[in-house]
Amino acid sequence: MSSLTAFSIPRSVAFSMEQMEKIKECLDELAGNTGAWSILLTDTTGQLIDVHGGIDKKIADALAVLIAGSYAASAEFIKILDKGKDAHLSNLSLETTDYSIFSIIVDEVLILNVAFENEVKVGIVRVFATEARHSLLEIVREALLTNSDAKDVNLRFTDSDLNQFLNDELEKLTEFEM
Amino acid sequence: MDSKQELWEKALHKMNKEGNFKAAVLSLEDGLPLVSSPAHYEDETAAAMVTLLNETVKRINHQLRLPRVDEISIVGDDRTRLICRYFTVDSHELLLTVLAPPDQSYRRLTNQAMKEIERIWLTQRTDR
Repeated sequence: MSSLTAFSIPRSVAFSMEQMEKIKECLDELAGNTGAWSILLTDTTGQLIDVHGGIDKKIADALAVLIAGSYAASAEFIKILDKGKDAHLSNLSLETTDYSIFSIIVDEVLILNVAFENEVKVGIVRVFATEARHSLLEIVREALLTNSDAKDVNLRFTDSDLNQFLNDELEKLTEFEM
Repeated sequence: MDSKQELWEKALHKMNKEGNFKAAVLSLEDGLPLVSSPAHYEDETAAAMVTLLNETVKRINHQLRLPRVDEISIVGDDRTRLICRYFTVDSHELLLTVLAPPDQSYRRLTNQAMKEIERIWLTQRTDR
């Protein structure tokens, strides 16, 4: 018997200028409250939404893609651990010798990444990142209603038939009418 | 402008200085430290230990149907006192833990510090 694997396609959302201003204010406030070294707001499709602090824009763009990949991997891991229940990843925490990164997920659309020196307590970052999530959540919901036609998309693959499915689709694409 | 952590550290430092307290830790109810003074005090251990104490208090509170706990105080045989003050700011349950020397009064100073912590918490940044 084949098992089904469901993959959620990340939703992309477009923000208006006014919404981007609100996002900037939110990140400014978070940076001020926490003393964070840098804050990256990315989305789950790998796009950079905004960056605050000491990271070059080009590097931030590249990081956004990697962050989305890391989020996707962690989210799938959580699904496996949760044995198919409707589990959602809410935050990720990474620690190094001198810096830490705390990432918080906003409605499975945005990833708010806060990088901070280890003198800053993780409790402070968690409290104020959670407050920022509430503000961002409002902006995201408004943007999803007004600026986006994005809908939840789910792809379902049958594990044992995946190769066959891909081969068939490729053949269809390259078929010539004789 | 100082971050919230820096402002809270200053508030705790001031309280410690005035009360000759050995250390103070501000933490979330679930044991995550927000600030400590001195800055390199073993705040993670202290906050985690106080959370264990907090769990016991909650159970006692529930079983005996007591009103909300305001303070827990543990006194050593040398009269050194560990005080845990409970308070809520902006719907966050917070704990202020203070290590006071023998026979040192602490209520007024901890009340002042709690008010200052709340004020800092609720202050919006104005330098945007």
